Amino acid sequence: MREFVHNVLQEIEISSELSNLIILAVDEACTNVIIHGNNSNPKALLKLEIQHIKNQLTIKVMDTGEYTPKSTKFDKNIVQNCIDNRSKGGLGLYIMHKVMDKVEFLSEEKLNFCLLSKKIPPSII
Amino acid sequence: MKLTHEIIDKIFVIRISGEVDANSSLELDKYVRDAILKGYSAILVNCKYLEYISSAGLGVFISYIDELQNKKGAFSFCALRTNVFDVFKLLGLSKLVHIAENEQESIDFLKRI
Repeated sequence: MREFVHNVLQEIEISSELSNLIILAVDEACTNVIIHGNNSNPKALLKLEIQHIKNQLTIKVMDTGEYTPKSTKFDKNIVQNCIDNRSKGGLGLYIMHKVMDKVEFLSEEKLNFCLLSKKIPPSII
Repeated sequence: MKLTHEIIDKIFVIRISGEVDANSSLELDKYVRDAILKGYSAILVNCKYLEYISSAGLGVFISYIDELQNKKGAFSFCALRTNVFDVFKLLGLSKLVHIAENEQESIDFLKRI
């Protein structure tokens, strides 16, 4: 999956720094879908779609699992909470929000969508 | 992902190579857990050959920070590649854990705590 996203992003003129962070955000989204939405079921399917139209990058992660995020909001205290509680949960969502401009979760007729959007600035020539 | 370790002056030195994601983080967690259970509270993580780490991997370290601090210990990470350091920065970890250029710097820090 990471390689797929990397190859797609290579066709867009963005810095390797931003590309690496977007790959990470997508990895986090997919991991949540696989582990929490589909109980790591190896037979479950996930669809990943990447669109780049007019400087807007939109990444769609789709599945048919049961994932309902406890919270989809950005929690600025999550890292300290994890330290204090000796836990690991919620860091993926935090990263998604930090990297992308918008993170949305939708469900429509048994299909779940995680939409990650990022405005990609035009490259400087 | 590949993990190796060495003991240097009572410091548990972990060397990670490859990628740490949700899948491989389970093994990393067990590695760190075992080190702490053996009594090590000064843990050096050499990231020279660490190519990628996700929240699952960093979550392993984050979840043990408090325990190490209670034992008067700490983590020290060294030789981070740029993309890995960027993830540390994203999570604000660069302000919460010790980060060094190289293993010797990490050893010197951990010996002083």
